[in-house]
Amino acid sequence: MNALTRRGFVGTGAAVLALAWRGGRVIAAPQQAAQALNDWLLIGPDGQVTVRVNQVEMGQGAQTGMAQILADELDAQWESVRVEMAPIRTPFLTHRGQYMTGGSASIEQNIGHLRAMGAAGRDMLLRAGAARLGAPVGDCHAESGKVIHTASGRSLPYGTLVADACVLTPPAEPPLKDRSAWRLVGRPLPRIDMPSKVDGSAVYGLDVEVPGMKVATLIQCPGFGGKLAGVDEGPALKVAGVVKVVKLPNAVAVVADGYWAARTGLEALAPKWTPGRAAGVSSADISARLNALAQAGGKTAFDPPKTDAKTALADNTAALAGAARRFEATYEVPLLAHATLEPMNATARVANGKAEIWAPTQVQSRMRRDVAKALGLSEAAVELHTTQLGGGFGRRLETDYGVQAALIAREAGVPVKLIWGRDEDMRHDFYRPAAVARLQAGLDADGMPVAFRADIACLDEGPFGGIGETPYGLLAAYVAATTWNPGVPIGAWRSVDWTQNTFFVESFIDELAALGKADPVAYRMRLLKDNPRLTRLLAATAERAGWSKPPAAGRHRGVALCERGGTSCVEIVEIEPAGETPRVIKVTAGIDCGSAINPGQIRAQVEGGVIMALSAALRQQITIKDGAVEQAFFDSFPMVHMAEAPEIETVILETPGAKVTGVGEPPVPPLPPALANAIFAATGKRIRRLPIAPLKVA
Amino acid sequence: MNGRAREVAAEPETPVLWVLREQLKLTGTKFGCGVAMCGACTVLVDGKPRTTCTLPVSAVGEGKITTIEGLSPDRSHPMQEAWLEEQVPQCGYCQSGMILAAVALLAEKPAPTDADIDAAMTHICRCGTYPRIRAAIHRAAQSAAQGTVKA
Repeated sequence: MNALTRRGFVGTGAAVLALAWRGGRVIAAPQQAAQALNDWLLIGPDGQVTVRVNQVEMGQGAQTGMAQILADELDAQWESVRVEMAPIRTPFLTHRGQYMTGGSASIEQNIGHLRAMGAAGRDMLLRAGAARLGAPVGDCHAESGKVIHTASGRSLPYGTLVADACVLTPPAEPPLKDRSAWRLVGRPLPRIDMPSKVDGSAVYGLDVEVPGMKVATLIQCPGFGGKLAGVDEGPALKVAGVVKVVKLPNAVAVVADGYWAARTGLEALAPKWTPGRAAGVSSADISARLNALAQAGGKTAFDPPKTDAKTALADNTAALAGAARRFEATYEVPLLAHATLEPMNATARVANGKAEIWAPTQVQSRMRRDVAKALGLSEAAVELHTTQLGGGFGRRLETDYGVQAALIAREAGVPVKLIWGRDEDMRHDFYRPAAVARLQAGLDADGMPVAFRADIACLDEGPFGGIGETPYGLLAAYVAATTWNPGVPIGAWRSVDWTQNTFFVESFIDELAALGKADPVAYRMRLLKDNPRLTRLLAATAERAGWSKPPAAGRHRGVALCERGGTSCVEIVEIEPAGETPRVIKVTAGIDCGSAINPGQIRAQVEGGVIMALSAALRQQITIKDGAVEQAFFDSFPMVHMAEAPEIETVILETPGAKVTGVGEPPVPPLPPALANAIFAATGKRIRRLPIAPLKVA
Repeated sequence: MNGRAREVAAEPETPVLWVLREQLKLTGTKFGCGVAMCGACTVLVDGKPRTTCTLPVSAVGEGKITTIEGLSPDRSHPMQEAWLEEQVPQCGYCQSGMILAAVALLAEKPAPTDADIDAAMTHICRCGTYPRIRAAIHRAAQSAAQGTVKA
């Protein structure tokens, strides 16, 4: 079950049961090569089940989850199931018209047609098998890759039925299983890609090898938006192994026999740059401007679903004025880098009016389009191969590194693998935006909010996720934002707006609870009275964390929650204060994503999300000086290591009948506010600005 | 080199990482930072974990190198089995270095405490698989102590 090797049945002459999805129906595609490229499901005469997947593997397990869903409806034998990347074709552009992996949407976007195709395949094989067994369909059932005559136990494996089944018409309404009949879904099956990740055989972008290939590395203008003014290529060309220096509009690349020669050659260069668009700008300037904008009030209002922004503002103003008590606080978060452990890289071969790209990318359709555009080729002339991703987190939704590899390869006249150094990766990310939010509440005599206002200033457009609408259904809410950016590239960072807005909202709600001397969980319970799903999850998580009993001596707890993309997540953090940096002992996390496709993967995503968010909350920030990023390596952008990793316990609740939603992102946003709230419980001091313990600058 | 002698021609200051990856085609050892901060490039040199992105090839000489490819031919090393049992990797990029560091730890301390693991396992995992790495190391230690390895 290797995710990357292709084994085409088409053209071998052997019968294949191949199913596609078009116009909301399952269709059995004719056995022509062109058509077969649109199939999601292929069952061969040997019984092998191939599930084409349009979601990449970057550690989140989506490919395994997709295979589980389809194989369950198909009643396939799990061991006979493999996955392969689907081609970049229309049927696979399921993410708002893109071939893309992001937004925790892999399962949600694809579960409907995967189930339908699995069920249709089972139905066709069952009909074919019953006919061969000489029995009515109703006397037979399917199980683990076989059609079985229920009374006698006589059976035929799927592979032997493929020739008969593939000429049948798929059912118009495939008979989906009741969840009580799920056998593979809901089990913590081992991930398909796992063996290749304990023996070094998984092929990441960095590991691609193309005959005749050279290796390149580059430096881009440190100041965002600046251009290459000039460079003396001589010093690099003197380095043994260097074959060429390639100039790009905003970068210079050194092409060599290997990475070390390329890097050595690059370090010998002294490129001159034009000033960037943010020349002279520093983080202090950005912070001051965002704070001023937040205090001045957001310019663009979030349109609440039940009214319009203008009415919302009038209601809010009146409710704030009439409240028994008012409270406000301002919060701030910094820029963050993705810092995937595999630096940006891509391999390109450009020759004879065609291009081939090998890349760890989350966005196949856009990468192909952007490479084609940069080279002046049609998209059809560009072939893109997806590798394993050494981390994504949203960074690989950008196409910059693929385009660069293509341009350098064209210039070099040989295939080129472009590898960014870590410093380059850190300095030319598309960052989680810095943001400031001024939050105001009007409270009734009982300390409960009767009006809520948020004014956000952010480097990104439309930053309303998780705050325009909160899980609480806050009364008389008005939320508005102002976007301002001096030229810092901004991108999607694992859970996007929710990373900052959940910190704002959940810190603020905690402050309101403390004002009225209410228990933080009990206070949230009162606010969640119209949200039964989150009420239940909060109760279950609090119970597991032992919230009703005081923590052990010297320990303190904090809570926070979010709803992200339909998934609810609650986190309770237990800390032991230790100097300036608190030690996180335990995190109890509750998650409800509708149905748990693979509970093992859900737990893994919760653990990973908690630790990624802990790194961000404690120490990480990208800072700007004279329009360029100051950080370069992990000493200045520190990660949590083993010694700081807390115990993490995950509580999974299901809501049968609810939409099945994602789990990669929702565990991230609650952690920073839950930790900040625990620090308040310990010290009485509010953390209103992240990171909690920034590195001291010498 | 994984049990057999290998000869390469390289500039003496070339880091071992690039000799492994580009000349010997052993790509299981990864490049993460190039400045010995992340540990993704870790291999065993005479049984000890070394970050190879800053280790000149001239410094290894006749030292015995074990990479992830040399740990076992079929993922049967007890540490690899423990890793699979605990379903440790996410993106997987740091895991070769993690597994080799864990092998070195157990060679020195067959029954490591949590504090031993904290001290020895100092690599970066961006996906946050640390809790599972800890569990896998304890599992491998227990398997070794019992003389059996649960498949």
